[in-house]
Order: sequence, then C-alpha cells, then structure tokens
Amino acid sequence: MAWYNYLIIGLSLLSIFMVVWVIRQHKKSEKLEQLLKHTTKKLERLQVHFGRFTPEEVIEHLTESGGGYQANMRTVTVLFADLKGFTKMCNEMDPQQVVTILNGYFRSMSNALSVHHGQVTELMGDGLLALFGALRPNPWQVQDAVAGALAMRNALAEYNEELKEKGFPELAFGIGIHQGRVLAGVMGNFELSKFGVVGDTINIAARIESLTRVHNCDLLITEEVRSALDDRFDLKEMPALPVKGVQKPVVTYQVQGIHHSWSA
Amino acid sequence: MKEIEWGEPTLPIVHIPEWEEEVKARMGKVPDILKRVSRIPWLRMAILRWPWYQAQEFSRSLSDICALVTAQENACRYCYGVARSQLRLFGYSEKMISNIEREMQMADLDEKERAFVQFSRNLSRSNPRPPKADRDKLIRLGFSPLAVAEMAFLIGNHCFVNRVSTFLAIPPMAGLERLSDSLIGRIFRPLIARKIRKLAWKESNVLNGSAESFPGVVQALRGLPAAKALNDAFQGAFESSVLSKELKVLMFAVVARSLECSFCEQETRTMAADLGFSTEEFDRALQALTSPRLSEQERKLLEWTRETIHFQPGPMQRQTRALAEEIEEEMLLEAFGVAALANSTVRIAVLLD
Repeated sequence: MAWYNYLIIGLSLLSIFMVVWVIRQHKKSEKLEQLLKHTTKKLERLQVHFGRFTPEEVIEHLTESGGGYQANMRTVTVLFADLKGFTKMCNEMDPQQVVTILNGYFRSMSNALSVHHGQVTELMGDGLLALFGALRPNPWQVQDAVAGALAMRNALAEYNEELKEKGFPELAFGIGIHQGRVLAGVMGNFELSKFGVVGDTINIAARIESLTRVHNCDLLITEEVRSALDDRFDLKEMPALPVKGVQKPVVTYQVQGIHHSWSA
Repeated sequence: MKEIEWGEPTLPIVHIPEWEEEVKARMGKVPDILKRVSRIPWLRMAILRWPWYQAQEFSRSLSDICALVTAQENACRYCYGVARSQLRLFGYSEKMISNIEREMQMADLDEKERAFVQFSRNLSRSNPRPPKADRDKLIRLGFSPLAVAEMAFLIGNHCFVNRVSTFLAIPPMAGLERLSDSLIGRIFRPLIARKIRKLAWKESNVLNGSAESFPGVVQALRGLPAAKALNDAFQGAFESSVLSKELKVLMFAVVARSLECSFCEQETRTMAADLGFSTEEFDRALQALTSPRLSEQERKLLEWTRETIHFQPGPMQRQTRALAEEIEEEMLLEAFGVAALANSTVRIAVLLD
C-alpha cells in the first residue's frame, strides 16, 4: 500500500475517534445540564419552602455567598401563648388524643396568626411563640400582633365547639405580647442551625403570659405595645406586678376586644 | 411557569368600542388585558403604552431582559409568558433565557449586563430596596446616571404591569406562547419580531413645567420620556373621581411606609395636608389603616393595599376575588391601578436615596 493509503486510513480512524469523542462529550454535557437544571429546580423549591421560615435576604445571602449571615438587631413584636391546665389534661387523657387535640389547636392558631402577618417560630410543648416583623420590616407589627391574638381568641372558641362535640375537654390559653429589640440571625452549629431571634423581649413576653393566670384573663400586653397601638382596641389597665428580669413592677393591659365604633 | 399558581380573572371584560378601535389601530388586535382595564382611562392608557416603552439610554436587549426578570421576580404568570415568548421570537435561545432565569453566572452576559439584571431583581423585589451602592456600581461600570434613572423607571414600569396583571389574573397568552416555539414561529421569527418591535412606544412630548404629584420622583427622571409618562399617570390617577383622593394618597403612604421610603411618605404627608388632614389625623389613619374620611368600601381597599407589596399570586388573587364581592368593580379596578402605581413610584424613588 502506498503511504497515502496509510494516511487516509489514519485520518479516517482519527475522524471516527473525533466523532465518537464529540458525541460522548455532547452526551456528557447534556447529562450535566440536566443535572444542573434538576439541582437548580430543587434549590428553587427549597428556597420557596425555606422562605416561610427565614427572611429572603438571609436565604439570598446564604445561597449566594455561602458565608455566615451577619446577625443584626431588629425591632419585633413577640406573642407568646400557652395552654392553661394542659399538664393535668396530659395526665388524665390518652396520649394519642392529647396529640390530636394539640395538633388541631396549633393548626387553628397558626391559621389565625398568619392572616395577621404573624410567623409561628417555635412550638414548645403546648407553648407557641410567634413573631411579627422578623421576616421583613412591618410598620404595623404591634397592631397585627394584637389583632392576631384576638383572632386566636375567636379561633379557640370555634375549636372548643369542635372539641365539645367530640366529647373532649375545652382548652383555655394565656397570651403575652411584648415589643422590643432582638438579635436576629442564623443560630446553631453545623449539624443544626436555624434562623431565630434571641433577647430579653422573648423572655418578657413569656413572663407576661404567665401573668394572665394572676390577673385571671387571657390576653395581656405591655406598655411598649400599648403605646404603639391605635385607639380601636379596648384595653384595661392591670395593677403593676413584679416580673423576673425587669427591675420595676410591670404594668400590663388586658385586651378586651375592639371598640364597637371600630368593629361596626 | 407551571409552578406559578394562577386563578381565573378577578374582573370581567368590558367592551368600549371607541377604546377597542384605538387599540386595534395601534396594535392590530385588542389583548384581553386592555379589555379588562377599559373602564379606567388613565389605567388603560398606561397599560397600552408602558409595556412598550422604548429606553433611550441603554440597549434594547437590556430592556428585553428587564421585562423577563421583573415578571419572574413578581411571579406574574401572564407577563412572564409574554416576556419569555417575545425573547424567543427576538432570537434568544432557550438556554440563554433559562440561564438568565436560573443561573446568571452561566448566561452569556458581560459584567455590566449582569449588574443590570441584579439591580432589576433587587429593585423588583425591594426586600429591602437596593442601597445607593448598587446604583453607584452601575455608574462605575459605565452606565450614565440618566441611564440608571431610566432603568429604575423601566423596572418600576414592568412592576406596574406585573401587578395590574396579577390583581386581575389575566389569562396567559397561550397563542403567543405556542407560537414562539412552533415551526411557523421559527420560520417567520424575523418578521414576527419586527412586527412586535414596531409596537415600541416612544413618548414624543417632553414634560413642561413642574410635576404636581411626587415632583421629586418625576424630577429624577427629567430629561427622559419617562418623566412625562410617569407624570401623566399621576395626573390621571389623582384626577380620576372613581376613588377619593384621600384614599389614593393614603394608599401611596401605606406603600411608602412599608418599603421604608421616607421621601415618598413625606410627599404623601404634603398631599394629605393639602386635602385638609392634620398631622395627627394622617398619622392615625396610617397607623390604623382607616380614616373617617373614607367610605366603608374604601377602608377595605386601604387595608388591602399593604398586601400588594410582597405577595404570592395565588393567595393574592383569592384575596382580590373575595374583595370583588364587596367592592364595586370600577372602584376595585382603579384601586388595582393605584396600588400598582404606588408600588412602582416607591421603587423608582430609590433614585432619591
């Protein structure tokens, strides 16, 4: 065979090799693109779900930079609710029934709060912690928190009707609302972390809730909340009482409802 | 697009023959949205012109991308479908569009274009509104201050159309969406693209004199056709008698306060004072989201305004549909326009920060 025949065979083999290589690379790149699309979609879905618990800016920061989120101070309104007599109920009832009742209660309360822009951030036993103005600035956070608490009161009355029909005992709660500065950020370690807030404001809201037992009412707010409220809410001043962590006795206000002229 | 929850239209089509003739003369046909906004003259005029606004200070391709990005950010199914289809008809590849939507780093864009896309996203979202540093970055990359002002207007403009379309739940343009990827669409792409490009709207008149409403915002756009466009919308909105001027001022104030725009809130204070509001009365109205000066229906609209800033289309449309059962259609339609205009104005006012 002449040398050019070898050359032609060589070039043909090289061409075939090149074509096979290009096809394989193309398939590989297609697979990678599909993988990228799939991963991006998963990430988007995750971002949407995550967005219900964490401010968009935090999600954006964590997904874009991968670095830690700088915690910052922000003003939020904290609503703390706790069931009264729940421990006794736990001791007397079938645990499965208790869980069913509790789940129904949390569902009903969360619905009432979300209508008023509240974000339920913690469920601790029978306690519920909701924040207003934590996910994004909310100039109406105090109004929302009190309106949310009143909606919880109505929702609980409805839920109690349901429980009564099923032969279960009725529930009663206490709610404390306080406004103040908190440290907001991503808390925890590598294994377990979440967006959350810390600060005295949370503790004070919980302690105000416990005063509902002393004042024999279901909904108390602090002076900080009262001063930011508009006059549609019907409030009753309660005697000052000492509260752990606060130097002077704390004056609270019972929220009775909305004035007739406003609700009409 | 499939993931966007989108309901049935919240308000019906209303045929106004002379209006439809005017639209037909300009566009060749009357899109659904222009039949649904036909009852409010200022709103229908803005919806006819604004989506076709031709930017003077930056490239046409950036304007095209801006429409896509804002519609995506605002999750407006109708506008998103239109913007995507138009980009396909203008010759953008599916891959390029997908990269802009999902992974900008992989899109075939230069640094200036990427910065523009990021600014469009941040301003549309406004959670929080982008800081001055973002505008400075655009200028540093080579855009003129006037170009940045026009960008803010264009983003606000698309946010306006996105909101009105979402509140009305305009049915997606299935025909256009199918056309962009059909064989006919591919063959006749250049012709169709040219026809669409011909719809571009260029405001030929300049704004004479000073603006009455939000003069600072209009002033920031001075030298651009956008100044006249925005001023015309303000004039039309505030002169319309379907809703009271008191409600409209309060609606603007609610959006300004939500987005922490002290400039716009101050403007609304001045406007409210002209209407006879005392400072205390205005503060009280803004705090309680109600005022004795408003009718029962208007109070509901004021409360609803705060829901128009950040929302998911599905729940928002359910809310507006429920509102439609209590509010007169014409009032609700104008409220859609005013809320959308307020949201856009406060976003454009980022230029004043």
